Amino acid sequence: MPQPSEVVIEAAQTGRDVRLHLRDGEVVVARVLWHDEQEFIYAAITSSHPERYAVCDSTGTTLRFDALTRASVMRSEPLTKQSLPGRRRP
Amino acid sequence: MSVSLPAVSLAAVPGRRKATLELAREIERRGFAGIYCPSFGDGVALCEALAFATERILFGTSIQPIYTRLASDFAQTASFIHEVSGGRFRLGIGVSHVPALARMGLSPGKPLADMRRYVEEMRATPRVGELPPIVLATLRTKMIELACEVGDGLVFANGARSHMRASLSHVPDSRREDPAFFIGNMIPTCISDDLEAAKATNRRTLTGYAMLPNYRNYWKEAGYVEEMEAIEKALRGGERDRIPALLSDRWLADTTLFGTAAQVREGLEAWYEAGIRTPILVPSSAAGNQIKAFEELFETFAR
Repeated sequence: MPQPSEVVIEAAQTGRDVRLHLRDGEVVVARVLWHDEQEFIYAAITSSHPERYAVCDSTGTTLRFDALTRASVMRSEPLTKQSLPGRRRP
Repeated sequence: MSVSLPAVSLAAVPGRRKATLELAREIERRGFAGIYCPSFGDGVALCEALAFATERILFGTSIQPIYTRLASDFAQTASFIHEVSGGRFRLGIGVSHVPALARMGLSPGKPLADMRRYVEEMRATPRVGELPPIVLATLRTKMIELACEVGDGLVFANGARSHMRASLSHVPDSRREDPAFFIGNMIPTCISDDLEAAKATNRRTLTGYAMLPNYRNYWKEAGYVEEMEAIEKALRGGERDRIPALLSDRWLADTTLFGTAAQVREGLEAWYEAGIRTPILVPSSAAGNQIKAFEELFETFAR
């Protein structure tokens, strides 16, 4: 079974969303925006703790890999620029 | 001590949407001042549902990013919700943040110019019906001035209470004296007798914001230069895990509400005194999830 860090890095490389299980009980589906060897930044899509992302927009959350108990890459196709119709800025 | 009830922030996630609407009805029944919905989980959809699930309470988006929908398309949705809710809807819009936009493959432009154009395009969209009041997400002076010029209100997120008078001094008298002009602030809130746990919860909520240059610049303007420069040094050194510890107690008390029920009620009163007409409490719990956080909130403001 791959380590959570390996899963997160795979998600970052493929652009797919990832389901994260945190040690504090939160389960969050996210897009990985950045990572290094110890930690990563994600933008939350949905979460068992929505209040953590309810101030305004998701600002990107930093998490150390050791805060995860497990992770799995979502099977759905990644959201890309091409999948958004029309212009992308006002 | 009797204090006017605040508004609250509410987000709905898959599997809990009907339960969230039940929660919204309870918020209305208890007399809270409003329900404001972040973009997380689709705040616009939640607002449309609130138009029918509730009867009296004001509600709105706080905040819907402008980069994800054409102004003319969004004008129709906003007008629709405005009409079917009997004028209870407030459309809060903002330029969002780079990570949230990056998730969707979007690149932000120039905030002030883009926001001005977006509001102008919404207002110029023909045959959509009357628009709701448009509230701009603000932090610093230029966006506040733009909100006063082209909008019907302004809403901060994580504003500093000690700096609010200075920020609101840029609101002209004609706007300040207009009770319909929306002046709000989203305030992370954690109610707990365990003060350290409550502070840790709020620090967690706000750490992501401290990593954004626009927020750090705002908090520097508000007098937290030492804290923000220490965070910038930590970021340069790759020490992100130090950030929560660098968010001082003084800063935390100025930007959030935490502590016992009595302390939170007292803090809320101070927000009203600082000029915020609609404090929007964003409840988190040190002991559970959103549902638990609302239980604690209801208990704190039970009448």
